[in-house]
Amino acid sequence: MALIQLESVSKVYPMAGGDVHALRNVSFAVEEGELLSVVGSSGSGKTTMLYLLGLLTDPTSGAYRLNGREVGRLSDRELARIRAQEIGFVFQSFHLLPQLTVLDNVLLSTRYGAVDGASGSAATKKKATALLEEVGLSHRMAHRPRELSGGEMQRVAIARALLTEPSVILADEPTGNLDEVNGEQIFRILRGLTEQGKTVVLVTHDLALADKTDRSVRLKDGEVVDEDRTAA
Amino acid sequence: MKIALLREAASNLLVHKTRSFLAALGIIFGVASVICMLSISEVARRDVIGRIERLGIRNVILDSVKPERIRDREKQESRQSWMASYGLTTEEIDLLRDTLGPNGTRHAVDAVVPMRTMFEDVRAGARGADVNVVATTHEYASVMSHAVADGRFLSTVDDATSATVCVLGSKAARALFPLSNPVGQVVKMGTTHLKVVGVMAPKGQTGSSGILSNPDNTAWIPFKTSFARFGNLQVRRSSGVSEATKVEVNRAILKVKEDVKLTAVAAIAENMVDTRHRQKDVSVTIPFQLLREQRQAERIFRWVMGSLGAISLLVGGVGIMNIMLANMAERRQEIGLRRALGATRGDILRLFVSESSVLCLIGGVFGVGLGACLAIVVGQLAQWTVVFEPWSFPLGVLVSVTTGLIFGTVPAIKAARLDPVLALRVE
Repeated sequence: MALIQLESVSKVYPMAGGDVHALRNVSFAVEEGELLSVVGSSGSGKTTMLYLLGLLTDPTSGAYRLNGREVGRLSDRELARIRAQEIGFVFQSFHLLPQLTVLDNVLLSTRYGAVDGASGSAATKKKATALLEEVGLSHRMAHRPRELSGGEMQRVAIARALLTEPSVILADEPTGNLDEVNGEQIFRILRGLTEQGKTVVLVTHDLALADKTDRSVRLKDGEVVDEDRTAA
Repeated sequence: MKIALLREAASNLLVHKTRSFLAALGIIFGVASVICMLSISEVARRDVIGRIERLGIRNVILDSVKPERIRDREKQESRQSWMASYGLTTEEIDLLRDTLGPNGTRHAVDAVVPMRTMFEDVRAGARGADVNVVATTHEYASVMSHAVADGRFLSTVDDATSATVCVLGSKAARALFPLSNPVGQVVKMGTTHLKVVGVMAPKGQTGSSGILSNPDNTAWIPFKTSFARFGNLQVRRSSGVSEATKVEVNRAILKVKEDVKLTAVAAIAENMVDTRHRQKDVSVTIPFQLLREQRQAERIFRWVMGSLGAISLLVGGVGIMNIMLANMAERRQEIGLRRALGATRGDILRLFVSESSVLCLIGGVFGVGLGACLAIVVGQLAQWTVVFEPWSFPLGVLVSVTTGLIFGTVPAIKAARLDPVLALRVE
C-alpha cells in the first residue's frame, strides 16, 4: 500500500476577483522509501501540493490518505499531532528562528507533540547532537543562524526535520537558495534518507535536480500533466 | 500555564529588548501611579479619620464661633481698642448639665466638659515656649481618651478650689522642660505661678485646626482657676491696640450615653443654642457624622483613583496590544513554522498570550517598585509617614497580568487564526 495517496484532489482559493484553482483533480501515490519530485513553473500549484501533503491546508475536494488513513476529516489537534510526529518539513528559506542556537532550533521540532520525552530532555538533546554530527555541524551547535552559511542553515533545517523520526520528509525548493556545491550536498543527504526507508517529496523548479529523483510529477496550472520515472 | 511556556515567552521578548521595554513602560507607569495614589490616599485617609476619631465618636461638640460682625470689625484696620463678647457661657454649661447630665432632668450625656482657651505666655524659669493654655475640668481626659504619662490629670478638687496647678501635653513638657521631669516643677502663666502635677501621653491632632486641636502642645489648667486668676476677659495687645475678648467657654464636649442617639442630643443642644444665641456664634459638630461623611468622600475618592488607574492601565494595555500585533506581523513565518512543526492553534494562542502576560507581569513588578519609591519620595517631601496597604502590591501585579491577558488575547487570536500556508510564504 502506498504511503501517500491522492485521489482527485482539488484545492480552490476563493478570492474577491473569482476562485483560484490551485490544484485540479490531482491523483498520484508515493511509495515508502521513494524520492519523488514535484516540478512545475511558478504558480503551477506545487507549493500548494506540498502544504496539502504536509496537512497545513486541506483539499477542497478529493481524498488524501496518509499511511492508509483518510486525513480530510481529522481535527486541528489530530492533524497537528501527525505533523509533529510523522512529517518533517524542509523549506527553501530554512525558517530557522534567529533567537535560538543551532541546537535549540533542531530541538524546536520536539516542542509540539514530541514522541519520546519532552523537548530539551537529555535523550532528545543527545539525539539532536547526533543528527547535527551526521550533517557535519556538531561544531556549530552553540552558534546562531546568522553565523551560518546558507548550506549550513539548510543542513540544520534537515536535522530539525529528522529529529522526530518522521516517515515523510517534505522539502520545498531545498536547494533553491544554495550554490551548486551546497545544493549537491543537500540532495545527497535527502537521497540518503530514502535509503533509510524515509519517503521524500521534493518540490523544485530545477529539472536537473528532478532528474536525479526516483520519479517526477509535473504540474501545470494545478493539473498533473506528466508523471515520469526518472532515476531508477 | 507551564513554566517552559513562560520561559519561552520571556526568551522571545528578549529578542526585541527595547521594544518590549517600551511596551512595558505603559504598564509600569500605570501600575506605579495606582500604587502611589493608593498610598497617598491611604495616608490622607488615616490622617483625617484619626483626627475625627480623636474628637470622640460618641461626642457632640459645641464650639463658640466668632460672629460675622466681629470678623468684619477685625478686618478694618482701625487703630482703636475694642472688645468682643460671644459664644457659650458657663451658665449654659450648667444648664446643659442640669438638663442632660447624669443628675439632670433627662440623662442623655455622661459628661459636659467645658474648654476655655487662654492667651497667656508660658515660661519655665527663663525658658519660654509657644504653648497653648486651655482651661477645662477633670472629665476632659476620660472623655477624650487622653492618657496620663506621668503624675495625674486635673481633679475635681483642683477645680473646686481654683488650684494653681497645671498639666502639660507631651510636646509642651518637652519644650518647657527639655532636660528634667516637669512634674512637681513650676511654670509661670502671665503673672501666675502654677505647679505641674502631670504630663499627658502623646495624642496627635484632634479636629482640623485651632488651639483646641493640638492637645500635645497644650498646658491644661482647672476651669475655675482660669476665671479666678485670669479674669473674664482675654486681652491681646499689638502695636498699641488692645483687643479684648470675652468668651467664657470656647468649646463644650458632650459625652453622649451609649444608648442615646447622637443626633437627638445634638438637636437639643442646637435648640438651646438657637434660642439663646441670635448672632450665630455657636456651632454644633457631631464627629461621628463627620466620620461618616469622610468615609463617603473616601469611597468617592477611591472610585476616582480607581478610574484614573484603570485609564492608565487601559492606555498601557492598548500599548501592549499594538506591540503584540506588530510582533505577530513580524513573526508570521515563525508562526507558520511552528504550525508546520505540529503546533495547534491553541499552542500559538497560548504562546502569544503568555508573552503579553509575562510582559505585563514584569511591567507590574517594576510598576509596584516604582510606585512604592514614588510614594516614599512624595512622603519624604511632604513629611508624611508613608503607608502601604499590604494588598496593593499583589493587586497591582495581578491587575497588570490581567491587563496583559485581556489585551494580549486579540493579537493572540489573530496569530492563532493565521493560515500557515500564507504565514510561510516568503514576501
